[in-house]
Order: sequence, then structure tokens, then C-alpha cells
Amino acid sequence: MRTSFAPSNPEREQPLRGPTSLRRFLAALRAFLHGFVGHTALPHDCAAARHALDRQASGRGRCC
Amino acid sequence: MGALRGLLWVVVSILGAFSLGTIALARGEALSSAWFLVAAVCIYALGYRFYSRFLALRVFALDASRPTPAVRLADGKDFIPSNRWVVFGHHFAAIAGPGPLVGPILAAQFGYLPGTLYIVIGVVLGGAVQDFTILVGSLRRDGKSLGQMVRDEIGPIGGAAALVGVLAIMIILIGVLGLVVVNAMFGSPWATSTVGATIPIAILMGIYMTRIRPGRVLEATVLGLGLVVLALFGGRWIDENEALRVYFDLDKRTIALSIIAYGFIASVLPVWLLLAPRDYLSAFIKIGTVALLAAGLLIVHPPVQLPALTQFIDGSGPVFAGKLFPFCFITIACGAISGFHALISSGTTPKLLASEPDARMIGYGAMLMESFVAIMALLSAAVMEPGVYFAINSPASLIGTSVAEAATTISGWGFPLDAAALERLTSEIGEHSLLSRTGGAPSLAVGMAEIFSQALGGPAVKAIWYHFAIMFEALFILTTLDAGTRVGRFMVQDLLGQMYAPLGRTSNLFSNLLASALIVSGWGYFLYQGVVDPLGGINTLWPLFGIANQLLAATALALATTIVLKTARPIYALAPALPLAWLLSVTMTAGVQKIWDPDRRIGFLAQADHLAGQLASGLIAPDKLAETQIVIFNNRLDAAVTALFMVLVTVVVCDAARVWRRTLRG
Repeated sequence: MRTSFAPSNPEREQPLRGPTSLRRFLAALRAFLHGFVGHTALPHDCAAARHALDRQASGRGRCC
Repeated sequence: MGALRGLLWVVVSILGAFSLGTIALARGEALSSAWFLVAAVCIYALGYRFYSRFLALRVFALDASRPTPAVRLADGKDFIPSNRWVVFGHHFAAIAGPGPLVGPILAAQFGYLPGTLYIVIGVVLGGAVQDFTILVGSLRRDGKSLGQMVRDEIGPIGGAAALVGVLAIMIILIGVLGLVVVNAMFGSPWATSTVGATIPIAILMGIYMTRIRPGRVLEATVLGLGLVVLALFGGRWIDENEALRVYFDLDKRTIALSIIAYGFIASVLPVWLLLAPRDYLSAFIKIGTVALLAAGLLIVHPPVQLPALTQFIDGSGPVFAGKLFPFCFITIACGAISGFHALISSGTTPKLLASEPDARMIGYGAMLMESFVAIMALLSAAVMEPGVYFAINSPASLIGTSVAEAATTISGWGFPLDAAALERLTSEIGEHSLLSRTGGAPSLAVGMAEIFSQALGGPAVKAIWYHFAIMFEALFILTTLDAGTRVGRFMVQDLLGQMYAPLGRTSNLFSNLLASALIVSGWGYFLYQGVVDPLGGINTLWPLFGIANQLLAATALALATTIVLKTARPIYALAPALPLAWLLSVTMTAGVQKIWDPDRRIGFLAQADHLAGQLASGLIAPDKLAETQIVIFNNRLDAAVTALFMVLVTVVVCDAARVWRRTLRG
């Protein structure tokens, strides 16, 4: 099952490449937003979400 | 090319020094907020380019050829090598909470200068160093957590003290942040209804994505954001509807109990139903609003109205009592250095990094970005009229309950406040009163509404911007509260599991309910304590939160010093040791003063003794007897909690000092 917001998205493993600085910047921005929103680990199936949160509880969460 | 680059850094240095000099030396003349932004950006750039590079190359010797835990232990679940920008976004989202928004606002009572200097210098030399060092330490130790590293590097006593400290600090944190939300929603049906509406909207999104249209994230996102905008405008309609507004015009105790119930439910319910979609929705609003504030400040760059220093540096401040040293630094906390970041730097982030040198950008860089958010929050307060700032942030016991009384008192402090202008502002933002809306959130919202409305829409839409800002802050805090409660629940279940194994299973319903009830009772107690506190709660609890947070940072820096001493040239250990020495002096001084200071606005025991004396002399009205006894108990409890934090950190640092001595002797 695809989990576009889960950390296992293979897109994240792709190096950022672009012919121009602008494209590189936009690619970096997109990746940043992907990570920022993906931090919430919104998956498509509840079991994965629950499992992920249970497993990562020791280090995950919001700060002050 | 090299010479050109060198010249560029010389220009950045001169610009940064000139901007900082302008901020520091300006007295009495109009000062544009643009100077603050330029100074901050230049200092961050210099710190990142030179100091973090020194740390990366000399102190840590980061090596791209050394495989990270994400690469060596890749399992597609916990350990996943990821693009560095994705990890940066993930890390920033995890460390960015409401602390850097609220702390600088409260510390603005001392004037804009102390806060600005501490935020920009403290982050470069302290906060970012802590985050970076702990991240590298965890990277080199298979992604171990802070507690595990303290146990391994310092010893089991220090490890146990750190574990108890983290849990206790989390309880204080959530209670205090809950109080900020209570103060933001109290007396505001518009804010209460808008924030309340985000809960069913999140549940609807969760059901939509998992039951109605599984996997359609974009559709759910559009639906969720659309409904949030509707809730914002619907809040105004409710506020203007006499029949409906009474249901949302809640007193502080009811709001506090509602938040406690929400925390419990969010901890118990499946994460897909409430917590995950709510956090997802909040993420868009958070990043959008922070970007909007930066753009607004750049476009409008309003003049700063707060003086560089106020007379309240002597400790007589109305927002919270205590002198500039140590309370300014305790109050700012997260904008310059935050102990909680050490939990993230040793949590998921080291398990995602694909390359060791990326730790510099993520550990050091993300903290600089958080600090920039703190500077923007400080500016939101500094561009307001000082009289208005103090009217919002001072408790009713000091300024009275009417606008006329408040105007007289605050004008007497040397900050002219025009009663008619305050009433006009109150009306423009669609509120019924702005007096004594303590906690930092309402004043930040007023400042943001001023900046946003000047950039877009004018005074006619100020009310919409104000309530948008309140919703943004409440979402920021409630996502910390619900995720923190859940993480706290897991920690309690871990501890319970040590005593009786079935209680440690996260799938066990009874264990789930018991652990959730325990953690919610813990922070709920402090929240309720703040609500019934005669001084408004923030005065008492925010310094307690600051002390707790900074003591956790001291624990992290003690570990960082140990790691550097063991792995690099001893002289390099000064990089974490100097901020550690600063933090220990600040937090221990603040802790001692909060417990034993004879001024009852500062010292917990002095306040308890004063009230006990009044009680014994029969000076307390019969209907206030029970409440006074509770307040006396709460003050003594706060003194005991502060002492506990100080003892725990002393144990960790003494244990670490034993290791430093042994290491230095070879």
C-alpha cells in the first residue's frame, strides 16, 4: 500500500537534481514541505499509523 | 572566487554588527523592525558558516564515508535513509512548538533588547550546539535516545535521573501550554467555537481518508482546509448570535476541563481518527502562518514601539515577577535553547539521516530557523503600543477590571494608555475585552493581526486575522498537547510494564486507559492549578516550565560535554561546557529564587506562608477558605517540584563530572 506521507516514501531517497538553481531550490522546498507535513505521519491505513506511533513513541512528539 | 566569497562574509559581518549596534544603541527614536530581521539573519549566517563548520570539521570530524544508522540498520520502518531536506522538514516540524512563540512575548516586559540579544546569541552558541551535538552523538551510537546515551556514557544513576526528569518535565510542559490555550479562549466565543470546530473537522478527515475515500489525501486536505476557513467565519456568526454565543462563552474552569477531556480522548482513540489528521491539518496552518508572518514583517516592517529596556528589569514586572537575570532567560527558553530538542535529536531524526555531514544542516540549521520564529514573535509584541501590551498581559489583580482603571495604572508605570484607543482596538479585533488576557497568546495574536491587516485587507479584516492567529496558536499548542500526552502515555506504560508486564502492552485497553488517565491527571492538575491561581497562573507556572526545560537542556549539554571529551581534543569540550555553565547558573539561580525568595510574587514558599498567615488570622473570606487552602498546597507542591528538578540535574551533572575527571586523567 502506498503511504505517501509515511517516512518510507522512496521519493525521499532520490537526490535532488535540477538543471537550474531555481529548480533545485523548488525541489528542496518541496522536500522540506514533504518532511514537515509528513512528520505527522498521516498514513492511509490506520494500522500502520498506530504501529508507527507506538513504535516511535520514545523519540517522537512535539516539542515546546 | 575565494576572495569574492571572503568579501561577501566581511559584508555580512559588517551588516550584522551594524544592525545589532543600531538595535542596541537606539534610544527614543523610531526603530524599524527590519533591523531585527537583518541582524538575526546575518548572525545566523555567520554562526552557521563558521561556528557550525568548526564543530562539524574539528570537533565531530563528520565523515561522509562513515555509514549512518539509517544506512547500516535500514529496515524500512524505523531506520530509513532519507533526503536531507525531507529530514530537515521533519526535524523542524518536530522541534517547532509554541514555546518560541509565547516565551519571547512574555519576556518583552523587560524591553526588546535583552530578549533579542539572548535569542540570536544564545542560539548560535548554545541551543544549536546542543541540538547538533546530541544528533551527532546519537548518529554515532545507532540512533540511541537521550536517556540511553546518558546511561551508557555517564552511568545508571544519571540515566535514571534523566528518565524521571523527562517524564516530570513533560507533565509540566503540557499543563502550562494548556493554560495558554485557556487564557486565549476565555471570554471569546468566536475563538472557542473556531478552535472547537477543528476537532470534528479532524475526525471527519480521518474517517474520510480511511473509510469513505481511502487514500484520497488531497481531497481530504481540501475538505479540511475549506472547513477550517468556514469555522473561522462561522465563529464570528456565532459570536454575533445571542442564542448561540452563550454555549461558547465559557469560564476558565470549563475550558480547562474540556482540554483535559480532549487530551484523554486523543490519547485513547486510535491515532488515525483524531490525532494524525489533526496534526496533518495543523501542519499546513503552522507553516503557512509562520511564512505569512515573515512576509508581513518584510512588507510592513513596522516601527518598534517597546523601549529597549523597561524599569521592570528590577524584578517588579507585572507580566511575571523576577529580575532580568535569571528570569528573562528562563522565560525565553525555547527560542534560544530547548532541552526538548534533545529528545528529537536523539529520536527519529538520527534514524533518517543518510549522510553524516547532513547533521550540520539539520541539527544546527533547524534550530536557527526556530530561533528566527522566536525573533518574529518578539517583534509582534515589540511593534504594539507598550500600554496595550501591558493591558493584555498584566493580571487583573494589578491593573483592575475596567479599562479606565487599567489605563490609569499602566499610564502610571510610564506607558501611556488611551482608554478609548484600547476600546477601539478591542472592537476592531472583534473581542469584548483585551484586559488581562495573560499567557502571551492573545498579545501575539493582536500583534500578528496588526501586521497582517497592514499588509493585506486593512483594519476591516483585523478581527478575522486576530481570530485566525488565535486558531493558529491554539492548534500549535493542542497538537503539542495531544501528541505529548500520547508519548507520555507510552512512557508511563513502559514504567508500568517494569512492574507488571501486561501493563506495558500498548495494545492492552486497560493499560491504555490507566496510563492515559495517569498522564492526563498529572498535567491536568497543573493546568487546573494555573486556572485557580489568584495571579493568573502564568506568573507561577511559566517560570516553572522554563526551569524544567532549561534543566533538561543542562542534562543534554552534560552528556554532550562527556561525548566530546571522550572523542575529541579536551579543549573542544568547551563548546558544550560553556553553555552548560551558563544554563546551570541561570536555572539554579531561578530555582532557588522560585523556592525561597521572600517576595511572595516570586517565591512559592513565601506566597504559601503569606496565605497561611492570612488564613490563621481569619483574614480570608469564608467562601474563599477552601480555595486558599488549595493555593497554599499548590505553592508548596511547586516548590517541591522545582527542588526535584534541581536535585535530578545535580545528580546528572555530578555523575558526569566524575566521568570528565576520569577521562581527563586518562
